[in-house]
Amino acid sequence: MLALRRYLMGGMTALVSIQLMAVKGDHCYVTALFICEHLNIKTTQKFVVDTGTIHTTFPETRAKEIGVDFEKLETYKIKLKMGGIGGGSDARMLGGIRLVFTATNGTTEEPLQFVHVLKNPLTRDEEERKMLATFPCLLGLDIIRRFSLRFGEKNFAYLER
Amino acid sequence: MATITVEKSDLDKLTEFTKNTHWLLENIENLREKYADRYIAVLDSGRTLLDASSLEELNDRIIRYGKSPEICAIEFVTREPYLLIL
Repeated sequence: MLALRRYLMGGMTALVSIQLMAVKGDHCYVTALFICEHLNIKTTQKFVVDTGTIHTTFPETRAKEIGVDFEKLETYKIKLKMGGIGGGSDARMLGGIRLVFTATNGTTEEPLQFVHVLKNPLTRDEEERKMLATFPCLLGLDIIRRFSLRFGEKNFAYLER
Repeated sequence: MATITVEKSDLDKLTEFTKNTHWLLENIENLREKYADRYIAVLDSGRTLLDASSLEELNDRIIRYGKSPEICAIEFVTREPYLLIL
């Protein structure tokens, strides 16, 4: 089966291919259905495809929008600190996640043990606060490494396997 | 065991959301001048665009228009492009 898969990949035919939006001068984005079983959440989300993030991450604002209370996530008893070159922030874990992507021949469903929810950082001004309200989620290596990333024709890239 | 099932209607929503998101990503620079400092929602693959000064007001407008915010591409339009350093 593995040999067949390698043969097919060599022949440029991926068994699963998720199309990413890769507009020149911008990040790569992908959309998915985000499902959290125990909180009964099923909603569409936009993700930046971010190989610099280990775990798929939700900003607090996005999480709040879909009904996740950051403070209640403390009941998981796992507190995390996350940081980037712009600074650091507290994070929590939200477990029991499924992401459903549109793919060739239908959909592909990717389970995740958890995603990180990142507390909003302090903002410098009103513009930053407003921008943060629509800041996208980050698709991390926990999902990306299940695929190969290929840049294709204008404005598209693909996660394939 | 998975208890939340994915229905055709969910995939239809995802398709519409994806089309709107794609349109917004391709056209955001053209919108920057007209909609600077406004929240915008793209619907109908870019054929409809709603705007408001707050996210709450925008969500109300989307609902009054008869659509769900879930299928809209929503963004705050900054005056200058905002580079994300991830």
